[in-house]
Amino acid sequence: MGAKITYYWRLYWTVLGMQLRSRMSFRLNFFVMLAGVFLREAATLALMVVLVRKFDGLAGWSTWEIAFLYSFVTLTFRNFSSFVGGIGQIPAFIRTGEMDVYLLTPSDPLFLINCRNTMIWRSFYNIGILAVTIYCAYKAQIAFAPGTVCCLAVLILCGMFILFAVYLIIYAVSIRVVEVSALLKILDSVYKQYMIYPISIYGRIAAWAFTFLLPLGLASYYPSGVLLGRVAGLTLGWGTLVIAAATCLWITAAFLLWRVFIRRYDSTGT
Amino acid sequence: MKQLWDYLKVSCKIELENQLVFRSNFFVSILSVVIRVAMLLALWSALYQGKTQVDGISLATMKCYTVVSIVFELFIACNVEQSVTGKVKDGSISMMLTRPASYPVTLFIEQLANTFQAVVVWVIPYLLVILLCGFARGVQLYLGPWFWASALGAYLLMFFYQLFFGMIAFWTQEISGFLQARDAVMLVFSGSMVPLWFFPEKLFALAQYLPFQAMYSVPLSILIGKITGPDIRSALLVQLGWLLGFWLLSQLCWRKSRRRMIVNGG
Repeated sequence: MGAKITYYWRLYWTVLGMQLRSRMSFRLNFFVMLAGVFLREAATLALMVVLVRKFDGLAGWSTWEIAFLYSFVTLTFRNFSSFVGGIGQIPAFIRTGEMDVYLLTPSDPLFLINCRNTMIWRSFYNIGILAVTIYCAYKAQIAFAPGTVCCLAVLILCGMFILFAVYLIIYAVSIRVVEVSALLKILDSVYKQYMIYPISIYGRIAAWAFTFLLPLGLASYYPSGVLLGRVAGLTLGWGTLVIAAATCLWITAAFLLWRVFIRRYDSTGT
Repeated sequence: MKQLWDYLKVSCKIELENQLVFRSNFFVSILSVVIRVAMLLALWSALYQGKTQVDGISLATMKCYTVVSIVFELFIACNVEQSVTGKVKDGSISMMLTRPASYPVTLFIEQLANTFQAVVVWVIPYLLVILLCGFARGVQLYLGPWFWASALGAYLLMFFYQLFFGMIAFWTQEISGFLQARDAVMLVFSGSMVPLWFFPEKLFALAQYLPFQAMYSVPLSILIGKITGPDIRSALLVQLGWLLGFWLLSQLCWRKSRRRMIVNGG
């Protein structure tokens, strides 16, 4: 077990180094890209603040509460794309047949694909987004006790893994249906553009669907809601526990589904 | 001219066929626009709760603006930057120079084919949905010549604007970073997500000095009657100014860029 961990640890940094060197071929573009992503997030936040202020809040949530929800969603998504977002290349590999190469290596294909395409260097601006999240939490009057900080850390991790599970399920499905770009587009836009508002505004059916069917609410509205004390019947401690348990369930389901589908992978042209 | 017309016909056919290669994906993409419309309408309804008008704009007008802006976005969607960058990176740009038509003309024809596909597959069905679902009910829409002129201006402006940015790839090879940064600014100042009239005064004034409002905000504001009378003419003049500016810049870049061309192995 120890040898296996050492093997994967070394492999991770080797592949990461290779990727970073290839990215550095276009150094200026690389840094402008980092600044661009940060600018984009800042612009969306500013737009949202302008809008919610103009209308004096949304569904009973104040501007700063909405800003906190937005920064939480952004932080979760950015953590996901920085650390495990490398698996996003799976549909392209399935379409082109490159998946064969990863399945033939002795290492775990998911691990290899992730570190081959991961964007861990982007995590440096996650620090900036974390700072914005903390500032919004302070303005939204969340009391910073040690317990709250621990729950915040756990909920951010849970959000990241919920996203991982949802995306992994879609990538598993892509093994059968090949083209899932439209489905991914829906998922991206729903999470980044609409989960930044309380899901209650979309109606009961949508709220149910975002909780049990496509659990994006578990990575956005519910964690932010329990931190702000806005989810009826759930205290911070219980809320964190429930969300953590749901995350474990979704992760297990996603891995099981991935295993079932990858066994039925038949490459291109076969 | 006949060759260009034939090329346009073939491109339109290919674009339509490409859409239907993966049918399940095609139907899911239709669903994605439906979801987007439904969620945006729910958002505006929640924002307007307990209010009849904000800044002189009613909920009905805002809903109409939202749905029409989505359709308009599909109409002026352009892929020229990615096309140019991809060809510069893999060296296939050299093949484009061997063609009898100039590369920007070829790109424009491909863009027209892309728009044809968008109109057939997206725009017409969504306009029917807007009419059948009554999103335009109770809203005074202006569909006169000034609106069509501004829509055409926005379309051409988007093309030349993207052509100019695509040409930068001849110098930098990779422009995805610049595009990320630029898209962030465009997202705010185009008025496609949040109408510019909801902006604070200073931001609104700043938006007037940028080309993005001429792409989305001007035609949509003319359509829903937010810009009227002599203001239409001045808005169109500003749009024309941006259009000429980006046309000149893209032509200049194209002339200079041919001398900087590097193909793989060369």
